[in-house]
Amino acid sequence: MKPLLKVENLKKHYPVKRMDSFTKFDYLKALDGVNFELYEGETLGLVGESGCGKSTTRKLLLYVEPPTGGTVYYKGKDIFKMTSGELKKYRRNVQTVYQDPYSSLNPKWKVLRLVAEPMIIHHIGNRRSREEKVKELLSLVGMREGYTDNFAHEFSRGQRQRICIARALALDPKVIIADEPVSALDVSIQAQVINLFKDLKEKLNLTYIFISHDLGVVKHISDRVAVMYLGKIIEVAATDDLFNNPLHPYTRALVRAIPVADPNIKAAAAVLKGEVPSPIDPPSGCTFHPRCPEAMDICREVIPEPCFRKDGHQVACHLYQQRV
Amino acid sequence: MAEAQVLEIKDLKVEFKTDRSKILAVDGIDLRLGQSETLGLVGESGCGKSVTALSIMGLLPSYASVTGRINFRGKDLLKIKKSEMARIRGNQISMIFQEPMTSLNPVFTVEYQLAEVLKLHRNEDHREIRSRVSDLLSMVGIPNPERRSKDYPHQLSGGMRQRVMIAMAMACEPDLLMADEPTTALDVTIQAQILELMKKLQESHSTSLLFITHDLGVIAQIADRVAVMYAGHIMEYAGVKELFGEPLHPYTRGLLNTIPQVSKKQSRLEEIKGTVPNMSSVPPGCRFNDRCKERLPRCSEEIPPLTESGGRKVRCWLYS
Repeated sequence: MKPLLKVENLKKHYPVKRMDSFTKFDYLKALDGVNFELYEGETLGLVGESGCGKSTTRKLLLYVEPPTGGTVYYKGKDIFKMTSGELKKYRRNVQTVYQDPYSSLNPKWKVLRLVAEPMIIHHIGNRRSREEKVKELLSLVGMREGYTDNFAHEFSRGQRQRICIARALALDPKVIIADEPVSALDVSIQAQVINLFKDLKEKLNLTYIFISHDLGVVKHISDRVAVMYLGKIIEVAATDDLFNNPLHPYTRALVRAIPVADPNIKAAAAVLKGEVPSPIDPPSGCTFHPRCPEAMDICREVIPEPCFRKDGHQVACHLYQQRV
Repeated sequence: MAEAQVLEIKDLKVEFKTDRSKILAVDGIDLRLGQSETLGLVGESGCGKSVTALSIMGLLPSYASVTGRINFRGKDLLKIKKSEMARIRGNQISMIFQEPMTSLNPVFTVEYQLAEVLKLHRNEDHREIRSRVSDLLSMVGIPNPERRSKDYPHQLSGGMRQRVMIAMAMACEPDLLMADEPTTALDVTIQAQILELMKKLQESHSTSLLFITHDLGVIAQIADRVAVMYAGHIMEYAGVKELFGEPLHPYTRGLLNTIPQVSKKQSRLEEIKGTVPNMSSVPPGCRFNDRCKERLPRCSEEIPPLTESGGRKVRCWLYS
């Protein structure tokens, strides 16, 4: 099967001013060689701690920012080489839902305009057909009828996130990139929105990239999971495989660090010491080696290449280089 | 429980008066907290958990009216003078907040801010304070404390800042430490480190801990007893093992089933229908009745009492 999106060696380095010079810059390596593929109809979960490059990936996938290197292919076409017309078409197919439903809805607009805006931009339909479509979309995301004349502030957080989802669906996209869409919601509302995402996927045959720091949420919704650390993807595997048999020491630590809602299971001692190093001056070799409980000499010097196992489990770690 | 309680709250009510309406954020709660015990306070946003903590600290704004009793070591904190409260606050009772960046002053060094607590409550000279500061920083696991104490908050990472906040809160070895979502803003691996640190410090100083969070996973790991709050009421109050082993209240059960867990296989998450009620218009009867799956006719008419059975309490008509 051909991938819908193919990300190849994607890099994004942001220049950062240096204290000691006006002309020289340091570079913050937000993304440093990311590779993954997204297949039609799947949900790819993207997990990692803050600053690991999850959201930068989203920005580059939509070409909101130009990459420093690497490419993204959509159905075999390089999105960074598309003409503006092609790019507009591409963005019709790839839509996003953001974390904060407060700041992503214009407070001066009514729901009708908020949800119809993508259609207005893309010159789809006329006023009446757009209104019909908006009503259809709102019922699709589980909002009661008759809300088209309300402002965003009249809704609760969960309902606002539903409006954002309706807006993302307005152009009948193929792919939805959801960037922490449930992190700002209360737990009881979070379940409603996650279930909505799952239902919509089945109804509309969508493909998701689901970005989150919450492993529980990612495990629940994804078919495959990619784990990021300091601008790199260190492990990709089918969801059950990743959680039952995490290979990379970082993934193992991450899975163990989640507090279990069961007082009989004692929390594992904090496995990882220290914190994520600065992406401006990342450690040599494997960037995880200063925190890794199983670091070897080679880890300090050589950057591990991702190796593929037969079952599609992919890991970038020296522990597995020989054994594969 | 024969041992003396550090904190005993009786019928605490907090009401906010606005121009248009009165909002009863906390509606008659009772809590007790013994020496070196950890009480978890769980609930969704707006349920009154933070307001409870702030009323203990005496930090609510003047338009809030607080009634009831907050007994701390035999003294009613609602009756004592402001100056006396100021001596207790930060000294015998201290608090850690969710967002360390907004709780630390950006224009002063870590050392200055830590020393402030000690200057206020302890009569120590400069040199003693300086060495205490670096002791405190190394106690909370900050490497290189002499150097890091000269840093400003923006030079520290989120986890480090929260460690500084903990050092500040523990500086005077309080009897009662309150933590309001202390790990919510942190990554999971850092959260694990901070929880471990808090547990360790609590044991070594035999501090009582009031831990507020919405994360049931964290509560299961840290609390001895748990109070589940919903719309200003305590819905269920039980030991941590009883609560997670056999949740009684439909809301507690709903909460436990609604979180996606790594250790469980769930094909579909159970939903709690509807949204958290707006506190200016709470439903009559049981506050949870309009979202409850097991509601009875009387649920929408009368508020159920918090009934006690077998050492645990639950506010639900199903059990009374």
